[in-house]
Amino acid sequence: MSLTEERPNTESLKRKTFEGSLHVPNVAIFLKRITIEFLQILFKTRGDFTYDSDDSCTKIQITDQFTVDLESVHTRPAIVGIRGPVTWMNRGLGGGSQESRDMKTGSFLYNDVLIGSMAFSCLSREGIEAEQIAHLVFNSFKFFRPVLQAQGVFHLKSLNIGAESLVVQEGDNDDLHIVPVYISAQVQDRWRLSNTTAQKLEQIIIEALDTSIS
Amino acid sequence: MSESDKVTGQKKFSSVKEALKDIGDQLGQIHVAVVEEEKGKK
Repeated sequence: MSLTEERPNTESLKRKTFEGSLHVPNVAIFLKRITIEFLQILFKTRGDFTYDSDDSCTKIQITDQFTVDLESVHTRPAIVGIRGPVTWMNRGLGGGSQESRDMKTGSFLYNDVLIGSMAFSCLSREGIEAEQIAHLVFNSFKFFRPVLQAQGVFHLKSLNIGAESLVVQEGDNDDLHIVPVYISAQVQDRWRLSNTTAQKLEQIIIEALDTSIS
Repeated sequence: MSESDKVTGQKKFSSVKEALKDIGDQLGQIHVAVVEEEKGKK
């Protein structure tokens, strides 16, 4: 199953990855991928906490919560992305999200804004280092917001650094310090409902009924 | 379970997974506040 498309539908809005400029139709995946990719690219250029896609060379892990190597967080710092909810805002006249209607075909074009949230947990053995990484993540989103907007993020709604917390694991000599950075972003979404879709749906229903009869 | 240090107010967890889950919960609360604020502007 492919989650990206080489050539997006002409009506869909551009939501591009940094690498390969691939269109990501799924807003939830787009938000997670674009923000993690953004941090990986920025940290690649840094002299300290230099990111490398090769696990054996990188000085910092920048990854999703389900792919993070929890063993190596004790030897090198990490930024772990956690995707939160994505909410449909139901904009437009009467909350219908309607953008336009084609009078010739009777098809409707809809346009809406979705709000999605991401948290980046900055982990380190040293509290001050975790705070510093969180500060870098926070400033990266603040300073380079237009770069994200060029890739298809409509607007950054909120940006917060949370309080430092501590992980004390039994059997481990080193404690881990975690400082989270929370972001909420708006992403635009557009879709068309046309008679063709309705006809196809009707055909599918009829075919399904035929199958159930026979 | 997490416990809060009574002197510093710092949250303590016994595993990274537990801490990440707590951050996810906090994120959910922030998200709801952002959405409510945005809906209030409508």
